[in-house]
Amino acid sequence: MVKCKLCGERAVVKIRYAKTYLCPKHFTEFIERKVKKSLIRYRMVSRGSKMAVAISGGKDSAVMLHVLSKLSKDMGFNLIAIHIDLGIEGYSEKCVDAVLSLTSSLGIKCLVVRLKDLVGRGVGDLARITKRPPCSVCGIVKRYLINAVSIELGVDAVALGHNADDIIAYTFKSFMLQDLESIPKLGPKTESIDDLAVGRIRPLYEVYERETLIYALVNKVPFVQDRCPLMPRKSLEFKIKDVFTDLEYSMPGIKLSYLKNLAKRLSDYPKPGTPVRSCGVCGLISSEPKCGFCKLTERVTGRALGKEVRDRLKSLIINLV
Amino acid sequence: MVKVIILPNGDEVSIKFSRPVRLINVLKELGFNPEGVVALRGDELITEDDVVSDDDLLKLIKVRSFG
Repeated sequence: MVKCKLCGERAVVKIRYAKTYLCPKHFTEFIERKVKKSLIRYRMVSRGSKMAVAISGGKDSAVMLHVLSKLSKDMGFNLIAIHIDLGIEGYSEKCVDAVLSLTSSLGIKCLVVRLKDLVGRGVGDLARITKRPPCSVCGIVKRYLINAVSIELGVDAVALGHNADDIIAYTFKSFMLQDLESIPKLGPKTESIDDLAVGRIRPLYEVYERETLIYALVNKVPFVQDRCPLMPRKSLEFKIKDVFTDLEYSMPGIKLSYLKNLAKRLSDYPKPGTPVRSCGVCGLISSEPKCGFCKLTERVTGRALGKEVRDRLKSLIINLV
Repeated sequence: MVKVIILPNGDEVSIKFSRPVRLINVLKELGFNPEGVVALRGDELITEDDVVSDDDLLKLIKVRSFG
């Protein structure tokens, strides 16, 4: 039996970069301390601030909410959970169940936004009709609805469950494609833009994906393990994750080092060439006269639905509060 | 015979070892990087340096999410 380096109990995890073995209790504390340090180091929250937490039903956002719920008491910030039901048959129902099970056990209010109620169709239909990759459509829908809900809620920031491995994969891919303007958007924090966009924070910026899985298992955090049926089997992001997993094994801590150095150099990357403006239909952030969500819904239904959706969200929020 | 179930797919494999070995040997035999999986024996998480015996039933959960 391998023992915890701190207490001598049975260890459940080896953390190669920290040269240690930890038991469930000390591993849980290790992760919570790591998230707290990121919240402070990257100035993600302040005492009294109000934070929305976007939660998908997967392990990363579930663990993020679990940890933030504990830290919120000590650090003095307020939480509300947001879940976007993407209307993916046989999958989204499980996600909603896992999210509600977690939020009710933590005593956190959760706003469930159902895409089918707002635009009449799920992500799969939207992708098929527009002939776009489902992950691209899903990204447009989630980014739009999370931002729109966060604006209506009047929160100071919205927390996203991207873990260290996700951020490495996205930024490395952006670098490979020389899409350098996208890299600063993937840092630990982006600022709010009045009435257009709520700032995003990534509390799991330095938490490895393997660590979120272990945290979820040892703390019995409910999450959906199934594969999203719309997700492709192969992608460049997956390949990059595999490469960095191999690198981390032979050079422990290289991923942390990458992320810490990235955070220091984010301001050196170029800013987007096109200025930020407001969508002519819904008034939210856009780089063009019409935002991605309004264009998408216009292609599917013949009408750009952004403004209508925002009005529906307002009434959803009134009912929640 | 060490029986291994690989999640989330549920694939099953069995490996024969002539003596108890560390989990890392099982992972290497199956071509897994210890940083890319989490291992359970029954309901208990185990580390790559824990010893597994011939009659153990292991579950390996791939870390990379698919959601």
